[in-house]
Amino acid sequence: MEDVKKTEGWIDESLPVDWGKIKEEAVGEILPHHMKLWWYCLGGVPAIMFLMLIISGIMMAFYYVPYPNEAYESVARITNDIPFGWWLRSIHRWCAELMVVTVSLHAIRVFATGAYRHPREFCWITGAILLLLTLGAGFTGYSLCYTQTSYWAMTIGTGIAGKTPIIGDFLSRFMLGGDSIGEATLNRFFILHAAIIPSIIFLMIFVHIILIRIHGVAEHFVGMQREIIKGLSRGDE
Amino acid sequence: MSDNNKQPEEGYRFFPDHVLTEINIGLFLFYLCCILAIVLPVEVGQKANPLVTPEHIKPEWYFYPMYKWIKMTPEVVGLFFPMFVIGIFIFWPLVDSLIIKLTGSKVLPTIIGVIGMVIVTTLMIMEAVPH
Repeated sequence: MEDVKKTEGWIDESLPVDWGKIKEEAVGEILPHHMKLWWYCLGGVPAIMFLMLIISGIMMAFYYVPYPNEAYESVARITNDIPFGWWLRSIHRWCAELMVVTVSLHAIRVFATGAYRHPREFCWITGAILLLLTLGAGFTGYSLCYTQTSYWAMTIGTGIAGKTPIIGDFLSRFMLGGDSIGEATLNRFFILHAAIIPSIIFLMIFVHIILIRIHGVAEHFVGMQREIIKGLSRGDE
Repeated sequence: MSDNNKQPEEGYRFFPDHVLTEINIGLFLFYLCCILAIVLPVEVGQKANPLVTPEHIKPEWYFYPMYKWIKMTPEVVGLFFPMFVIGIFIFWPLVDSLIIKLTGSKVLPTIIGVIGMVIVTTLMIMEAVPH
């Protein structure tokens, strides 16, 4: 018992931080009853999907080779030879699809309840950027398989980016790493998919959550919902 | 029962109540992904051949609306308009308040948003349905 007290004292001296206050700030929020409605929980769901994508993605990154001559073979090896590789790859794919669906549904919910209005404008802006980043992650991830369909989708995607006014040429060369799809392209797509986009998504989720904590959860205003919420709060008593 | 377990009157606790709900949803989604992975596993597909252009090229389903729009319209409109829509989407709260300020109607931005969603969904269905 004395050893435990000694250790606690040592931790308090070495890390003089008010852990109680940090805990209170991080998890001590009181949420309004309408947050029990499932469509208000859609904000947390993409974050869970993102976590699953990160875990399955890191596991697959051990085996994936981002070079045109080996990319397809490494994907085939993950799918056919590595134990549970097919499962990891399928989980990664389905999580990505569901993340797009849930982020879109969350955006529709925010739009339908008017939760984007003042003072929550920046919550919407960060959320909209998160949706676009999710689509970007989907595009770069799909291209990494180096199948016939993904190769030509990548050709069309980079072609469209190349026709963007003013920055098109730069954007196309940045994505391709040259004039056409080659070794540098897959490498760049892999870095974008596995490092840059997830890092920005993580940062944006953090900012999004901070903004939600600053402004609090939006009040719902639809009369019909009010009745449901009354029922939910009665259930607590 | 201690005071810590009492529910506050104005709402309910983020931890553990809401966190538990989110964990339940997360477990359900993991279960759903496992089922989908078993029933509809991802296939390896045909290796890329830069010399052979496939007959039908299609992007992922979430790019269908933009792909269909680009196919339907002249190049300049096809590229400029989606960029304009993406800009409107990102800065929608500012556009919304501008519309309210100009027209005084709070319903009009909602109607515009719904019309936009209907158009996007229609384009997606048009591209998804095989001809």
